[in-house]
Amino acid sequence: MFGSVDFRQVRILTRFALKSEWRSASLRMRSSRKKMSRSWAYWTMVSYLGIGAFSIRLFAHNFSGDAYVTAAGFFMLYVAFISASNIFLSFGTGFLSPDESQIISMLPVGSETFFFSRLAVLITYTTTIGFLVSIGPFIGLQFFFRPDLFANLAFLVVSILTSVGAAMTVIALYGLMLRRLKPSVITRMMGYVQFLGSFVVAMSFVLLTRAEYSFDFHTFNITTEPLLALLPAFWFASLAGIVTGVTSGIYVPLAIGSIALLVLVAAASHLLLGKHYQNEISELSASASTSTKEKNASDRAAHAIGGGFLFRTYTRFARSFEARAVFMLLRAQFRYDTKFRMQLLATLPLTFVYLFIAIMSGGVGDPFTASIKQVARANLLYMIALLMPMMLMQNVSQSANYKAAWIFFSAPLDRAKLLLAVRNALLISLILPYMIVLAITFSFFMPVYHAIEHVLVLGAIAGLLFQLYIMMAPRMPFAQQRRPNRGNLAVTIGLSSLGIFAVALLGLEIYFGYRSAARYWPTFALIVTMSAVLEQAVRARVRKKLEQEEFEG
Amino acid sequence: MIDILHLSKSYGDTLAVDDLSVQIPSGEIFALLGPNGAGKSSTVKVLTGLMQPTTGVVRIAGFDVVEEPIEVKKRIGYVPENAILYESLTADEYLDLAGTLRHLDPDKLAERREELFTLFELSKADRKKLLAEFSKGMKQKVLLIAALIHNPEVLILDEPLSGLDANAALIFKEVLRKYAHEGGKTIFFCSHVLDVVERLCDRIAIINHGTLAAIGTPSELLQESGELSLERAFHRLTGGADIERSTEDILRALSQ
Repeated sequence: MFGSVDFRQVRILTRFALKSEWRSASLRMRSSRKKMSRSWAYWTMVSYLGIGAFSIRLFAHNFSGDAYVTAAGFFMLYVAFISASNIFLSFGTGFLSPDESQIISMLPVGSETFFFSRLAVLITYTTTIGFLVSIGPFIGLQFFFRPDLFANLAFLVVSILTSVGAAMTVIALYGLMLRRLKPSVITRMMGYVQFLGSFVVAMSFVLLTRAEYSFDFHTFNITTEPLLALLPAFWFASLAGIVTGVTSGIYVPLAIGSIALLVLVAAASHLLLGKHYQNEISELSASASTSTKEKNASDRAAHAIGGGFLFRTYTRFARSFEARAVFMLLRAQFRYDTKFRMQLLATLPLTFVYLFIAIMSGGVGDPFTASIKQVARANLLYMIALLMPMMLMQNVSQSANYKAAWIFFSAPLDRAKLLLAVRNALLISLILPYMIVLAITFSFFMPVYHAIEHVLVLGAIAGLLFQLYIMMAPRMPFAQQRRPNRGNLAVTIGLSSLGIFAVALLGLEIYFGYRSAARYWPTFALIVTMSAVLEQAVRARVRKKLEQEEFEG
Repeated sequence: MIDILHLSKSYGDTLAVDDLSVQIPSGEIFALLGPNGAGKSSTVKVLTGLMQPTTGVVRIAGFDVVEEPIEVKKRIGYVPENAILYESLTADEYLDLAGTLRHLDPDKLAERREELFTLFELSKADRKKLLAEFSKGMKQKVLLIAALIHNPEVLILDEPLSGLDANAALIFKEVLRKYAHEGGKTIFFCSHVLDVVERLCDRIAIINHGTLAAIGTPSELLQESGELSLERAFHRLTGGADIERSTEDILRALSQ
């Protein structure tokens, strides 16, 4: 079966791939190029440990019998989602890496050998994720709830298997897609699939969290709710349960099912991808350079969103060359670069999910008449709306094409004007339409004029926050290398503080300003005035900071 | 036109350029040569404002690159070593971007763009294609056009002929010659293709380990080094290994 695989090459390729990926993930180039510092890989690991630590409470009263299997089932669902979404979202650059394929294609490495080396990297990666997320519950079980080392080690191993199994399932599904669809179609639809996927992932996490609080696992488990057995995560949980002696009824076949599933997805991914791996990558790579036909289709789609109209309007009012240039680039990237478009639209799934939560909790309360408790149902929705401009700005400052930003550094332009032009372009082309949609949505829950006034305040606070953020972290557009979780601790803390400040300000405004029109308009005007007053300070700070910024490429 | 005075650039503890001083007058084609890692790219990045000098002064057309970067950038055209462009733009759009960033009047921009596209043999259909679809040479042509489009006083070119076909290279070299000698513009040229440098450039500086190893006209460098070709002179001045012995060593190692 593996006759054509050179395992010595697999070992070497895997070792070097892991080394290279770890280095690129854990070292961050600073502007002075030669200095490097610890970076996002460490924070990602800490966040996985944090998720695990947070999940310990799942087992506090559920460490034996049916309740344990159910708690473990929900936990395995977390693990599976984290692992699968990681692989899912980085698939194009990770598992099917055109860059690496180009390097390897010059060497005498067979397709299956290359496939197995990538698979080994993937298994290492997902094993690490599984381990980091599960170590917290393992410690909780071992030292607080159930001191049974063998059973708890089994839990840890099964969690890791779940993580690997989920990732392999994604690989197998991609393999199936590659068999059924043309590479060009896959390339085109990948951005949209990932966008929809992020809806599903965000929604799943929300539902999972709510499920934990809503059910007592001693009465709500696989034996009382057999439909849970349809979820593969519960098959793996059954495997962990058997080790602790939960062997009755449905658990044994489910545990066998988990092993069978692992074997099945491993065989499927080998069968669907293994032999044609290099070929698939080169075809995907070739189709990535957008054809004119695709470009036109994409163009039409972007026009449907409003790019053409907004562009014409904006360029008519844009006074500086910097503003016109930046909007031209933003528009082109938005039209042709699916990934960039999806990153800019990434706040939409969260908005949708938080709106859904608010509706499930009884709807969005009218902040002008409802009690604070009713208004607070939509707190998360308000938070995302207030932070949206900053999230957009972060996405615009980072780019996969950051080396092309040399043109901004070598052109005779006012860098402050350039950045402020980006801010204005985002305000007009994305934030304004978002706020209008939000107002329309709110109008289903409150009188139209309340919805408009409420969104005006949200927009004013978001604008004030946006100003503070730009002062705090001014960056040249498209000039930073894109890496997940990029940013230092200071910026992360700063962002969180701004978020808290924003919600507090909104709370104050609702409490004091929304009581009467006589209070509403002056307080609204006060917030807008604060933003306007800050403008000079923003310009001065941005100019000073950006003058010192050096090209990263 | 270009005054580099005691320029140093370091990255942490590594000194890339060490006390470099060079003056380049108007109308001269000047080449900066050096082995890999000698400090050429760092010098170019300081000249173009991509990086700031650690110490020293660089003036272009009388303007200090640190004190008045905008005035400097208005007067330079730059072609970087690697053709990195926004591949989601068409050639037309990219030149619009470059021209707009240089505050060119839209009508003038369109007119020059048209002339330069024709000169570099980029068809109307090519101009509407995304740069992602362009070959390396075609991308290089777009970069050259973007550097020339505002008729700069100083052209800073890092391996500008890389990827160009023979016809385009021939035309471009002739453009450079006339641009400098008849137009009075200054051209700062970095290349590893020494026979092109020898034939095109009026003066050559060779740097090694960040410091100036030699400077002069091609014939002065040949005279100074006692060699017959610039290639050999470069080798001698940068302290390269003995060519014959290195060649023999490599061949012997391969035959073992």
